[in-house]
Amino acid sequence: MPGAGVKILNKRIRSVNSTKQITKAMKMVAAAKLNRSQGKMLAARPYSQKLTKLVEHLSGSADGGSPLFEVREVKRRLFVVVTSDKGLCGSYNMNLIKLAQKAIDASVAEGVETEILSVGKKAGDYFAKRDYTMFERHDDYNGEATAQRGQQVGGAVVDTFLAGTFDEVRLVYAQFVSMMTQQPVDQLVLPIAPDSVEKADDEDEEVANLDYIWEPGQAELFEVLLPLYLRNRVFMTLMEAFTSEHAARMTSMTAATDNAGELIDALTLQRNRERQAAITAELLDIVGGANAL
Amino acid sequence: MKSLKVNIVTPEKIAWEAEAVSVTLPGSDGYLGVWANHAPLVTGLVPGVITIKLNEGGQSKLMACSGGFVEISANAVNIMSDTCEDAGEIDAGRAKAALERAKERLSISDAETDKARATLAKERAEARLEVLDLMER
Repeated sequence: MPGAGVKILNKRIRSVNSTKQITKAMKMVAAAKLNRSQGKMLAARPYSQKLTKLVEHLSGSADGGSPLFEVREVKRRLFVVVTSDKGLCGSYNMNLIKLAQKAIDASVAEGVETEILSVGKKAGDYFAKRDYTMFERHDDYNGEATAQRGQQVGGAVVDTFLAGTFDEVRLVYAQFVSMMTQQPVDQLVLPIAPDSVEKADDEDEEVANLDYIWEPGQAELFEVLLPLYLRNRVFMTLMEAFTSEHAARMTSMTAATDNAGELIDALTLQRNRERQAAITAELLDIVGGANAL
Repeated sequence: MKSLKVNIVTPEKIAWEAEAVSVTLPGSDGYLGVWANHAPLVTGLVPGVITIKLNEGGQSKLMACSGGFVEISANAVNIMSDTCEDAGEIDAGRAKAALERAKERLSISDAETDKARATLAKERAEARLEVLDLMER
């Protein structure tokens, strides 16, 4: 029967259209979250830079080593893996999990007891299901980094290292390179490698070389400053990872919306063709009938 | 008269930055006043009130600080604090409640209560209330 194909096509177009509306809404939400997240990251940078600069100063001049620098034989290793809670962000989580799993498997193969601290449901579910040892799970961050959450994870990292629960702590997260690119990385957090203290961009060398008075003393200050620095580093990491997540989601939702649009165009063309074909067939019928008379 | 550049940063934002005549800070070894041409210094901060004298006329800005670090160099005062709020940002009700809670915790004498944490919480709440109190005068 002519026209049946048209009906089915109409139905499909409607369904694709509603999917498109959903992906479009998600794209808008991700864009808004990305914007906020990026703003927060920028706002947090001055503190982090000043702190890093101070640590840099101290690590250059303080002779008293902190236990946080202590390199021990690695018997137990902790991986902090930061992913998202929800999917629909392209290959963001898969890339991270792949990198993390490779590193974790290598660590296990070395004979090191390896545990995982996961931030985000995706990593938590993935590794728990595959019988990896979970140290802690944080599934409720919902893509938002707060100073308190930074403290929570950072505090756990510092405390377990100092208590000797873990001899090494590594961090797997997605670096925010640009809107389109998020680079999964695996970094050593503890023990602090002296050259791993990221160089804050020094605007004036003169200030950097000042001879400071330290009150009470360098060693005492170091003891308070280093954990603070580490917690802040974890906090900045969370922020960067979540910014990456929102960027990845926005990119993939934009792609999905575009694809839906293309699909709708193709389906509409096909529907119009079929409708035209049906009309032509009907006309031919009529003309044929008239000629036969 | 030379002025100082004061930057107060917290992990979440720049809390305040401007030129000032002098700053009084709650250092870990007691309150210290900083004027222009101060020697380079790094010290810890404890919960307390930061008083920033904005100009010669004696106008000043008060902020409640919850502890952190300060770095003084080349007429710049960089304050790194976990939180830092002025009178407008402080919630009086919350600070009072926090103070009560901390006092209550300090009055219990058992090993489980974290006394050091409660003391810090009490000091933070007191600093906030002091700022409000000083502003009212």
